[in-house]
Amino acid sequence: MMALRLIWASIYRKPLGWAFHVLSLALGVAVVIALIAIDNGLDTRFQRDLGGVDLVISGKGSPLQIILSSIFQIDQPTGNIPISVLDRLKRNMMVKDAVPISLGDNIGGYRIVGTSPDYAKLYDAKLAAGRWWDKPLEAVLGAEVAREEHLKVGDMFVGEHGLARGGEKHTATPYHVVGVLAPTGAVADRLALTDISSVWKVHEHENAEHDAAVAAETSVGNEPPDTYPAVGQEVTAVLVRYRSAMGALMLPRLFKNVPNTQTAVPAMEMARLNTLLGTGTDVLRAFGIGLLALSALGFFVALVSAVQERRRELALLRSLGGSPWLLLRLILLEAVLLGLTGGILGLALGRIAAAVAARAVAHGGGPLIALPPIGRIDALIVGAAVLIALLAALLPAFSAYRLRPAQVLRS
Amino acid sequence: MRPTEQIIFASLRDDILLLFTERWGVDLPMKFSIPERPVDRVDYAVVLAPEAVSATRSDADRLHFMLAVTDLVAGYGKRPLARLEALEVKAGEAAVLTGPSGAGKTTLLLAIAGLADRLSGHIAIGDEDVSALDARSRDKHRGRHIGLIFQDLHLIPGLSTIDNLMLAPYASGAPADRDRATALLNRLGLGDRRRAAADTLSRGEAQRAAIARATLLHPQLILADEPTASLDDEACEAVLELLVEVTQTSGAALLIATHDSRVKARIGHVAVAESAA
Repeated sequence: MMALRLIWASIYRKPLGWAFHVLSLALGVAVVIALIAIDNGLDTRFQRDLGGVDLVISGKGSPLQIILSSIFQIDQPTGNIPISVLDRLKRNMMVKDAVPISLGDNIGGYRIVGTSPDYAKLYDAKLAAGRWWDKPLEAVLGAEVAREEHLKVGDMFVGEHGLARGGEKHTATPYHVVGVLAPTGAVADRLALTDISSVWKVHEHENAEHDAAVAAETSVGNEPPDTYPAVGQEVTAVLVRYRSAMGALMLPRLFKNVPNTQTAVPAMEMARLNTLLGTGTDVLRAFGIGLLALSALGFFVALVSAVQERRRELALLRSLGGSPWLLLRLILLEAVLLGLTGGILGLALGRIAAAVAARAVAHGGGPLIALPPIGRIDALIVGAAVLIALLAALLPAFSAYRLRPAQVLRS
Repeated sequence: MRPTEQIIFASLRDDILLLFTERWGVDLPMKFSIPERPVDRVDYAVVLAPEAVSATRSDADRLHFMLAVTDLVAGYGKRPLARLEALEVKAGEAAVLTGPSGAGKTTLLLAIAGLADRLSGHIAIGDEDVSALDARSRDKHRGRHIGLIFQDLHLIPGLSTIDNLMLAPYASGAPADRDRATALLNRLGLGDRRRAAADTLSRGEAQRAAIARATLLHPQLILADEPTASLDDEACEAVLELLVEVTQTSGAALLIATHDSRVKARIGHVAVAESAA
């Protein structure tokens, strides 16, 4: 107890200096902890959102964009593909599941996804209330959509055109909420699911305009007619799960030469995404470790100067019967306590920063990052902060141990 | 025992009262007080016969003096700085260690405390020959049996007055008796200042707090280095009076290193430090 009071007295004399050193250590810890939490949270979230999908087939475009738009629902789709692709996939022996999705509208920024009930099975989504749809313009809402939009079974809502707020309202074709999903912790929480035919129904008038455009273009012979699949029989993408590993070898090849279709393998695109994001994460992590190293240096300088300034106090303790070990222990304990304070503060700051970042990403239309609970890795980082402080204190503590009290006291 | 009984000295060793008398025959039990500590009741006593007294005379003399220094040469490392030929101070009494500036009064004081190096000579404190102790034992002995008062007082700012006192048991490993510290502060008129931060105490209050810390653990020897330097006559007299009173009531020996003539005039018993450089 007296040791703690002595340490407090030391801090009391230079509160700003110590606050700076503890804070710099805390910031280093916070950066590392926040990055790891977000990294793990994204990994978990991505794995959950992937829902075991092995292949996505969509309109011609970037495979990464296809994965982002069709699985994570965070990018614009590349384009539609004929529904015949879906039929072809369903007939294939290597395909276990082929789930269509059709995008185009939103409710309060949440996407309305035309699909089949199989989509919910990808995420083990269960109904918390109501039932599944059995006709067009009936919708089952994800847990977050229902909560944020204050909708419940029996309510009606009107979709807006496009994937972001502010589009034209489809007032003529309101949806009827027939079910609400229990939270899944996956992308399904942020979607309004409906039958794929609902999307076609809502966009019937656009289809008519589209038909006219196709007729006009084909009449002047600008485009071959088969690039325009029959409207009303399109989907945005098909999510595929293989029955066996053979599918991974064969299926992408089968669709390689189908006009206006693009295959995307989630595992490959995720690896590419990790490489893209990984560089930034590595830089930030190196920044955090650099901060930790810098704070270790700061601790070292501060403790050397503290021992120098406290020579009379330390000499007094020797004059009162304290052994050199007592002084050594006192300096090390001080470093451990300050390191622990910095570590715990860093843990709190890092977790708050990670939560704020996760919320910002989610508000920006990105995935809701599932931050892992505080665990062993966080404890290890706090322990590393304590160790850094302890290492920084070794030399100052040894200099306290070697103090010649008589020379200090007689001066 | 009759009040006129001739007792050379009494000492408690392993809780057995040793009475060194000139002749046989002492009535026990009795209320008794000896310099090492007050004794309310004597349970066991060994009364030594005149022959035994004679045989143990030198031992008795050594024990009789709470501080006995002979031919001490002190310094730092192997470099001698100060010399003190002889000094004996009885329990409850005070002595002054004086000498010209640079003679090494403080070095001698610190050597007696085991903080500066003893290059030759002997130092006995109470019944312990501290010359024979190793570094760790010297630290322990100093913590338990010696109270030091410095000119700069060395109270730690940021700690309360009472916590500055409690540093003594913390550093020495002695049991922390907060009640005794409170009682001591009350006795020295600092009761209402015990929770005040040390850096808010006046010079006089700080001086009393430093004296209280030095005497908290019932030391056998109190060493004070220039306790009256830069004090006016009134403050000097107050400090000396307090030191002498504390010494007498605690039964410790007091050694003051100073060249302050007011202290020499007040204490009387003077030893002179010589430079050995």
